[in-house]
Amino acid sequence: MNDTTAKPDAAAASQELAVREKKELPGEEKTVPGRFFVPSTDVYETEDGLTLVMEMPGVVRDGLDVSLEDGVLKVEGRLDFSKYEGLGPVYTEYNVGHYARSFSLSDKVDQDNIGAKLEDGVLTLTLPKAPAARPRRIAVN
Amino acid sequence: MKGRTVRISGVKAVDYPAGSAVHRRERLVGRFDRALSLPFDIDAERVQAECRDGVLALLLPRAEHDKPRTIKVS
Repeated sequence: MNDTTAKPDAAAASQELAVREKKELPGEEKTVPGRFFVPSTDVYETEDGLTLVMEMPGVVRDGLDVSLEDGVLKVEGRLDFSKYEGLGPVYTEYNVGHYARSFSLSDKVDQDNIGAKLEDGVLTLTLPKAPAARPRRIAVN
Repeated sequence: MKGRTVRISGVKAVDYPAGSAVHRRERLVGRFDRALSLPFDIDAERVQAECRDGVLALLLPRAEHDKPRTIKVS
C-alpha cells in the first residue's frame, strides 16, 4: 500500500489538476438530440469483484440507463437540458452533453448481481465475481 | 469575489479501496485554482453558488450601479 490510497486528499492536493477536453463518443449515431461524451472511468478489482467508477457530471438518476445484453454492459446518462433553455452562451468551454459507454463483460462476472449507485454525478457499478472465478484456497492433504 | 474577478479553487480526489488492483485510471485528480474575469461588476451580496450532481453553478447578478441606464433626451 502506498500513500495514495491512504490519503487521497493529501495526494491530490500536491498536484495540479490537469485540464482535459471531454472526449466525444465515436462511432454509432444517436437519435437523441445533443452531443454524447465518453465518461472518464476507473476500473479496479478486489477479491470480490470489479468496480467501475464513471464520472457523469450533471446526470441524475432519472436520466441514467444501465443495461446488460449479451454480456455487454451499456451505460447511458442523459442530461436535462431544460435548465439551459433561454440562456444565451457568452463563453463555452465545458460543452454540456450526454454520456454513453459500453463494456464487454467476461464470464467471470456474476451478471445477475450487478449493483449501481449514482452520487454527485459519479456512477459506481459493482460487478461481483462469479463464484467459479473467486480465489479459493485448496487444502493440501 | 473581487471587483470583476471570481476565483474558484478546490481539490478533486479519488479513493481506491486498500488492496485493489487498478485496471484503468482515467479520472483525474488534483487541485485547481482559476480566476475568471467578468464583463461587469457583480453584486457580491447576491451571488449564489450551487454544487449539484457534480456540476458547480454560480449565479452572478450584475451590480445595480453597473447596469446600463437610459437617459432621456429632453
